[in-house]
Amino acid sequence: MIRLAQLRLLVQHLSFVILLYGGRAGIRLGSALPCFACPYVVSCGGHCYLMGLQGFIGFGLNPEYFWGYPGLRAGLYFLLFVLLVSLLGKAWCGWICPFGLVQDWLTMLRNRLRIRESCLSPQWEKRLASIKYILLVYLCVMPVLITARLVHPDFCLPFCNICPGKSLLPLFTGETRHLALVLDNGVLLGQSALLLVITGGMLVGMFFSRRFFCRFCPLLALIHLLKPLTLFRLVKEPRGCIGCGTCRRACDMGVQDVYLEREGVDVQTEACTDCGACADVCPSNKVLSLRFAGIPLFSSSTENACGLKNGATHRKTHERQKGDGRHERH
Amino acid sequence: MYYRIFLLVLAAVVFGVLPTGAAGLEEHVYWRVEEQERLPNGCAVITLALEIPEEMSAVPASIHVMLTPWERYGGRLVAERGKVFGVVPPRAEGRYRLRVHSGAFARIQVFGLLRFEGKEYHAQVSMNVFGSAGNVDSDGPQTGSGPDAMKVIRMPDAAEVADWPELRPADTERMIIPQIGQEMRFVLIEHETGHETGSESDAGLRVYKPGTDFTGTAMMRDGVHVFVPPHDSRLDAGGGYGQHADHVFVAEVPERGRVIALTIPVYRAYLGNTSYGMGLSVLGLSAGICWLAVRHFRNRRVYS
Repeated sequence: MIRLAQLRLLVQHLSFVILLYGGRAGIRLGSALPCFACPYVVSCGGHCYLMGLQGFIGFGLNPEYFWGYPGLRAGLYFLLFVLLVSLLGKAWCGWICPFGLVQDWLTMLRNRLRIRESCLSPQWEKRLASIKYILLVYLCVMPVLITARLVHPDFCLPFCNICPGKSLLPLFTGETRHLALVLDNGVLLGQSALLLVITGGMLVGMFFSRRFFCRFCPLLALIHLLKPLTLFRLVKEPRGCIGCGTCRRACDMGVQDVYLEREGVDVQTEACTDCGACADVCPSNKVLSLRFAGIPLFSSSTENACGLKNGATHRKTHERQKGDGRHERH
Repeated sequence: MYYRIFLLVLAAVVFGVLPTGAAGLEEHVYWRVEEQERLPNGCAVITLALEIPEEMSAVPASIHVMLTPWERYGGRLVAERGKVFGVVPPRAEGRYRLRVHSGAFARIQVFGLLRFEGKEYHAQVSMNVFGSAGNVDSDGPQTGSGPDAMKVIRMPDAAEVADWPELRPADTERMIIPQIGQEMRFVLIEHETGHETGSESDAGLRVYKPGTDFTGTAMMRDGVHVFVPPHDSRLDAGGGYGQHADHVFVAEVPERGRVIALTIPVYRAYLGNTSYGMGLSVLGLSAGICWLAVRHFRNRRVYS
């Protein structure tokens, strides 16, 4: 029987092909996708919503646009984005995002090279969590300032211009032009240099730490703000939890709350990507489950947890992760 | 006497040309693209001005507008010859001003003709506008309001303008938004004879940018005139969307006494002035420093 992790990997690869090469087959999934389907990839099959959001948000200062056709179109795109988020929630990040798969490939490469993972401490995880909200505010405020003619118009698409997805994803279709410094003027030179500095740092970070970029992703923050509307959820039944900590070690995002939660049911934290890795390795029956509108799609069980029995699960999983190079220093 | 000759020679050296009245006029009859805007109803509007030297200020101009909507056939954008309208735009301060608008994605060509001292001076412009209202207004180029009002004369068969020479991009679908650094290909068609430039005997195109000292020459290659606008630092420094500089391409047909000046607004290229070497250096440097930082911190106890 196919395991959840294998199914997820299959879906990720399928979506990667569709979102990066689908345009060549005439696939157009619109401009409101809640994942990094980068519009800078010429053959992409859909666009990341952040680009549209940055383009539309300046309409607020222009009543003629706001109440006209462009405003209507912006509103419809936002509704479509909300609809897509409410259907799949953060599963867009864990199961569909092409940039997430690139990060997973780097993790696989590191595991293959048997290089130990570098983990951030929970304190640092919390400190860095605010960066994605700062970026979200930045990408919302800058278009307004441009429309008000307070900043240089070359700051348009402020997040795209520093997003490592812009420089890395086009490489899969042979586009290398975003690896060059733009010498037109100071604004473009600064932004392109910043993009390359961030890309270099992110490449190293993503290699040494699982899903490193997702910790800073403003799209994850935006999806989390719509959490009350989402139908796709990770749910914990605390009564059956044996506190083995397997879920914490399996989590790509270093989420502690799923492990620490002992009373509530809602364990959907802001960093969670709904990948289901925790439910996949949990050795307790029906403690962790992925649910759509309350209907369980996948639940943890002793059989699913690598086919191990309860007593041996903790030790075996620990050893497996150690062999994979994912062991943490205690 | 010798003193006057000396002054004349000195003026020729300093100014580069001898002051001979009408000479050099061929470089001074051109359309200037002044504004491009988008109306709330989705109509795209351009404002043009026909620049005329003082010597010709009393000469009446014959002006026509051709509006050709782009259509999509099998994935390709195609623009056939569209409707032609004769217009009589208002004239002030020695120039004709003209507003043309379109509710659809369309190519606008404007033809102006002045006859002066036995020569024909053709001023043409070819550019695209991106209206999003979804239709080309049935009246084509509309009369503006107030001082910009102009008289539109319908000319469905385009009888007059049909024989005029046309200097235009050879492959129009590649020239939708002409940019700095992009190869541009032009062909001169003389409709009354069906002659197209292409023979080696044809004179090349001279290129200049109004208001600057930039001049260049389009080279003849494979039967068409080819020109690549060089990087323009002033255009880049200005920044902004739709930043463009008019380039005027001048062709002469001496045997017919014709001078044809085609104005093309060339837009700034956002990725036209880049450096891969510097970019990869910055990327490598950043990755290297981060790698060393990770190696340094991995040897410390960071997780408890």
